[in-house]
Amino acid sequence: MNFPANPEMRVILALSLLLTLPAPAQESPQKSAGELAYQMNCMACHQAELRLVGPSLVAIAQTYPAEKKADFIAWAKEPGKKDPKLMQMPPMAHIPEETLASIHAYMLEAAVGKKEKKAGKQYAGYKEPVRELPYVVRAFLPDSSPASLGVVLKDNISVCWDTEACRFRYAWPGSKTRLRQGHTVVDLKAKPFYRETAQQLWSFACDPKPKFRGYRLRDDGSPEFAYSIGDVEVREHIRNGEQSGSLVRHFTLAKAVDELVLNLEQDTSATVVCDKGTRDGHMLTLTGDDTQSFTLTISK
Amino acid sequence: MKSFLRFRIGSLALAVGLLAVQPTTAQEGKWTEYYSFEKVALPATVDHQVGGLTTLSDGRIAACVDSGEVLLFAPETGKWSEFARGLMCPLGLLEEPSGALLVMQWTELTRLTDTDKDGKADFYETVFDGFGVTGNYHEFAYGPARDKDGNLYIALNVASNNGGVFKHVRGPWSQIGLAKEHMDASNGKKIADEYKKEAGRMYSRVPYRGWVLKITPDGKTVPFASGFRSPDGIGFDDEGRLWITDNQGDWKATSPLYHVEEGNFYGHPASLIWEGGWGDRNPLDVPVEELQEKRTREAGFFPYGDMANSPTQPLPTIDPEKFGLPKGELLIGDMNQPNLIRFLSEEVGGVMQGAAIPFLLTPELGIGNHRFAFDPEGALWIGKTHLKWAGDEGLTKVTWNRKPLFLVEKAHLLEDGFEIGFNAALAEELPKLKVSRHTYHYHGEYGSPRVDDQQVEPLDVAVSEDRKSLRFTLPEIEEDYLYTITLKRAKNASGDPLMGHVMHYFVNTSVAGKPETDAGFEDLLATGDLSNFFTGNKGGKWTLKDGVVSRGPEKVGSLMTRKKYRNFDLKFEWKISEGGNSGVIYRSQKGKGLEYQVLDDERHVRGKTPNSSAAALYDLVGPVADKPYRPAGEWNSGRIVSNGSHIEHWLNGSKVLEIEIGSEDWQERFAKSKFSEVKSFAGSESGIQFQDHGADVSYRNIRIRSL
Repeated sequence: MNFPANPEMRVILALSLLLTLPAPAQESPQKSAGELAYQMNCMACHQAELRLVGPSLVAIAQTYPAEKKADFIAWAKEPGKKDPKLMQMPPMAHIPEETLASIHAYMLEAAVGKKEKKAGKQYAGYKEPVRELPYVVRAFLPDSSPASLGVVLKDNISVCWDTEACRFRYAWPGSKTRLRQGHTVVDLKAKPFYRETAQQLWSFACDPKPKFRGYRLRDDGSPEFAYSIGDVEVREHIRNGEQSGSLVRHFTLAKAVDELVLNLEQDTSATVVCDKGTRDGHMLTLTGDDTQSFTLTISK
Repeated sequence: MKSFLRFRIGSLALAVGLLAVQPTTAQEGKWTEYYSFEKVALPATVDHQVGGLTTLSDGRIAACVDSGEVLLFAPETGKWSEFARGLMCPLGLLEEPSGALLVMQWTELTRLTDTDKDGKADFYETVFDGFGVTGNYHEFAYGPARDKDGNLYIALNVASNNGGVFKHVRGPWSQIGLAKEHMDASNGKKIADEYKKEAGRMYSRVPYRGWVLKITPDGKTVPFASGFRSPDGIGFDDEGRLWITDNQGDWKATSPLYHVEEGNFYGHPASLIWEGGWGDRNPLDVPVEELQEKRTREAGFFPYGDMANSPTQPLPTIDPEKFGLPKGELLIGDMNQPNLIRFLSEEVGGVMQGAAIPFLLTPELGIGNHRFAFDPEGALWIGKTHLKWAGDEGLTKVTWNRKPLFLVEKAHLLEDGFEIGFNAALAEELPKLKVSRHTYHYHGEYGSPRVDDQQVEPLDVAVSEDRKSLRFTLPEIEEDYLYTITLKRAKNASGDPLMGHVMHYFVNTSVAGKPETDAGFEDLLATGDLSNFFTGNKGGKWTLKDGVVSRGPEKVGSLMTRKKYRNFDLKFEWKISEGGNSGVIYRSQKGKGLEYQVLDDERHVRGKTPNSSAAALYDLVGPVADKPYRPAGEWNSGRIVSNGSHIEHWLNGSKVLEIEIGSEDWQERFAKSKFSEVKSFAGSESGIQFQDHGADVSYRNIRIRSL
């Protein structure tokens, strides 16, 4: 093995190494320590003129002018929440105070002569295109589980379908397709014209809980939901009705049952007509082969 | 043969003092000399925040975006087409063998199938929705990742007390914690300030928030691992290991990387509500010591401010010919800096850990690096997002221009230091080495400052003869510390700079402190005397002082255990005098047996021959060429495993040789050795001898376990 044989040689080796070192390379000699530290620790959320994740440097400079350096450092080490619309900043206690002070100095310098711009300019965003209807979209809809779908039909008719309860919740007059509003429940700005209120729709429901299987989009874009209630497999196809202002729910069961009762109680005043079975008030009774395929037409 | 040239760094004052204010990750070379960056336009009709990205088996790229579409990009036409629409916050895509696409939505894992082959999905099939959703804004859902058996894995965020829950929630509501009436988020309401603490900064009141779930091919759900907060990145490496990144916050000191195994708890207590048999304890009331005991530590840390305040997807590297990086690494996204991270992992003491190294740290990359896919040509597609945090939008394609990069390709923890391996020889002028280390608090506060942040002095530095390996020792290696190793102005022999010269290695487990290795060992010096040994018969005695047993300058004869051993695991430390020779002889008869050589390789003539150099199985098997040897006057750790026909010798935490007695290889070596005439050589049990071979030598920490 080839090791230097004596200790002196090691010293020479080490010395020659030290002598050949060039002067320390400054990565960006023109940048101040404060600017570098800002870029590393703050820039992702704080921009000079733009309120982004956190306030802009312009706003920070207003809150913490030069004489409030100590307040700035104290806040950075243990931040609270000033603006309810912004995220709370994580503590910057890992940054030495003198570095925080240099960041403060840089922020003041960078804010000089600048004005805050309106936020949201950074991204082009996108404009909801004109959708071909029907359009099916997951959204947080009122009076339904968070796992719900909006079915936007033609003719100013929209439906809320809850994939958790596996049921049609309500229909409202609307044609808006951008039904997601961040993480809040969308404001439909209209009252449902049809809403089912019975605890359970199906006479053979509901224990165990119905199981959602998914949906198919037909060629015209209308959805057919698939779910199972116990051992009964159901498909429910939703589309516009023939008559203006109406929608159709076509049900198909994998196999016929002896008797089926649907509770169509509603707190609205829509007209609900079934092509099969017999009606007694809100109760619709189907028997034998009729249970395998039937259609409800709901009109405003 | 690779050996280590040794030299001392005289003073660390020479290390650059500017680093306190300079970004430690600042690059010294230009990434744009190796990679080109190109924006890929997305259609104007969709949101440009990319939640999922994957390359299909036919070479097309699939992306899902925040407005709910899955889009397909055909490279031959350069055009996008819409495959699916109306999805909710899709954050992951995976192609199935059938060609269907799995997509992880806010509320379910969905299979998208184009049954009529018109290029658009027409069947949105619910694969899995067996987890709770409260409507809280923070309940992101990630995945799926698929293992080799076809199991799928998804990861679920916990909810935040900056938002409440809807009146209708999905999943059974746990009564443990703040009453639901105080958590109402309908009509833009929030949890009132006076209730926020009681809610918990992050909470899991419906099943499996904060968990990773496994879904088997036959549809069974396995709650796989808990303790997550915001595990945006989930993926398998080439070895089938599951890796998950999480985000800094409460109980997450800085953003971590976990090697995830079934049944483990990874630190955030909110999820424990859904652990089998948990009972009705409020996770907020569990003492931190109990959680500390229960949790599995990180495999890696991304030090907040230096890299990846928010880390994203882990993706295994591909064929080095295509993208320029070694295979077997992980690439991890960084939301906050124009940076990706290479993670070089290794197994130490049975756990995975490793080093995070910046990659593509350049403004051309931009921030918001969220989802990744290599296309068939080996270009890396990067999908960006922000979700109103720091980030960006759009797609960037990164192509390697085939210029070889000078890289760190190994970060290996030694018993008392590190070995850094490079893919090319270091230049004559060696880099400046700087090492610091810090740890973090494990607590419910949001993040942790760096704790006990100190520079540590590398005691000595050695470079291998082929100059592709650098070793250094540190005064001590502390577990649960993140070591930052900076190699300033590192260049290869052609003068190319080292691309990625800062490593953040997290020592979850140190080599010396392998928990299982000391269990069952008997410390032969624990008695404080030499009563476990025969102490020599040549008129002198070995002396024991401060746990160190020494021969001294005068001849005393060998030191031998009173007890006889045949199958054993022996660990010991040795220090040889200059030019000295000793050895540990075992399974011997009349002094002839197997011997672990103890030698000053540099000065003793036997050091020139592998078979008789330090750690050799004397005259039979030489140690590996690049054994981590420390010279005369310094402590080395040795280990002998003697188990039936199997023999191993270790040096300073590395196995340097092994052989099977009786094998063909053995027969050949034995026939050539000076022992060839010894009958039943190495067959019997014997006392273990610490040899007096005419030179001063010291031993300590002599621990043995019978096998």
